[in-house]
Amino acid sequence: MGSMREIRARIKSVKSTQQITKTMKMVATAKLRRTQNGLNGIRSFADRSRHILGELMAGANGGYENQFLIPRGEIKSVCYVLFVGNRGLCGVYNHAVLRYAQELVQAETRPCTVVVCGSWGRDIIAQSGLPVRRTFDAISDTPGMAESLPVADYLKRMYVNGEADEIHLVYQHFRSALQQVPGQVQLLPANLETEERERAGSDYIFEPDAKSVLENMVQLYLNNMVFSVLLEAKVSEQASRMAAMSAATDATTELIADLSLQLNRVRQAAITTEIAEIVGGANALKKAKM
Amino acid sequence: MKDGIHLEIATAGGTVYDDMVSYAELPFSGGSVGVLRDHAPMLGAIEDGVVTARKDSGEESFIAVNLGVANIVHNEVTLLVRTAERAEDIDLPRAEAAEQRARERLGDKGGPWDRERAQTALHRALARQAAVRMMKK
Repeated sequence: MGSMREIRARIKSVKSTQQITKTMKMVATAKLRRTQNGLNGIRSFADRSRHILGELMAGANGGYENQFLIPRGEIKSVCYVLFVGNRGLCGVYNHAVLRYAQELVQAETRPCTVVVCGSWGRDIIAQSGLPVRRTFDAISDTPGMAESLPVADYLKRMYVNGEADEIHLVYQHFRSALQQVPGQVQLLPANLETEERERAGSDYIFEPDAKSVLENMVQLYLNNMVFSVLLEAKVSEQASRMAAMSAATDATTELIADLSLQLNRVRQAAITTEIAEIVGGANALKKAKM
Repeated sequence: MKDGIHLEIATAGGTVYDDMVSYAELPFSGGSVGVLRDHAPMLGAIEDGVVTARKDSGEESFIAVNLGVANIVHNEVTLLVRTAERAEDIDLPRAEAAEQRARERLGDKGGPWDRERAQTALHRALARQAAVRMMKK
């Protein structure tokens, strides 16, 4: 047991740590809310594009040939896009998704490359042995569309150039504020989800033709997909950080309670000793007088 | 004629324009198309260019848009585009600088992809400038 002064100093430092973790939790909560709003906005956009795609595919002109839609016969190279956070202090978030990516790459029999989005763990990723070919590290915590477009364009270019025949996005799925699970989704070749196929035959005019409309639609779809995955990864990151910081705050509260108890015990012991000394002294004086 | 068309321009990042208009001009890849009330259903491929929205009161808005799709049905005109920017929000010197950069890169010898990218960047910069000029007229 340390001296009272030592314990007091300890309590003070734990308290200031607690203030930091509390603030970080609040910041994470605010960012979580902001990115979640973005995610809702993108959903309505995705719904509308699915609607248009449904109209397009339902027409008499089904079976379009679009390079982004048709799987390639021979897969020579696979690309995994890994979405990590910008910094740590968010529990297992980054490590879990990195481990998941490592497992994927190790299980992959075809040659593969990795593109990283996020500035976390440059060294850790370099040591992990992943074949990283490009890192996008200038993505903010609450990204806008403009920040995901360069990533989307880069991936499309890789695909068109034949540097990758399949592209997968690897990120932490957001199940709930308490649960995030690493997972992957295939970006290219694209599996378009459409709806309302039965509404075939609405007599649309195509300007200039259905093929160009589909081409643009697919481009939008891909941009949209990269953006929504980026947002979801960020939402997961903030949720994970919120949970981690909340746990840290609780731990400091407990530690402060323990330390205060210790402090009180030490103080009580000091007082008891002092009283015992005084009483002893008084008794000695009394005896001497007698 | 009252403003009878609902024009909405949306990007994945949010809705940029959402209002009733009487006339809209859209930059399709085959050339501009003007849309009035009761237009036939149409799906069109949008190119980099400027959307003109005119209200019955004579008020006009110009929005620079990128690649996308327009859906016209029952007087609802919905544009889903890569990016969209209202003319009043465009930073003209930046657009001009972007044009300059793109022209320089076009002059360089690069791979076909670099050329294509520079070309796209150039189109975008020109569309943004056009929107500002149209607004000032």
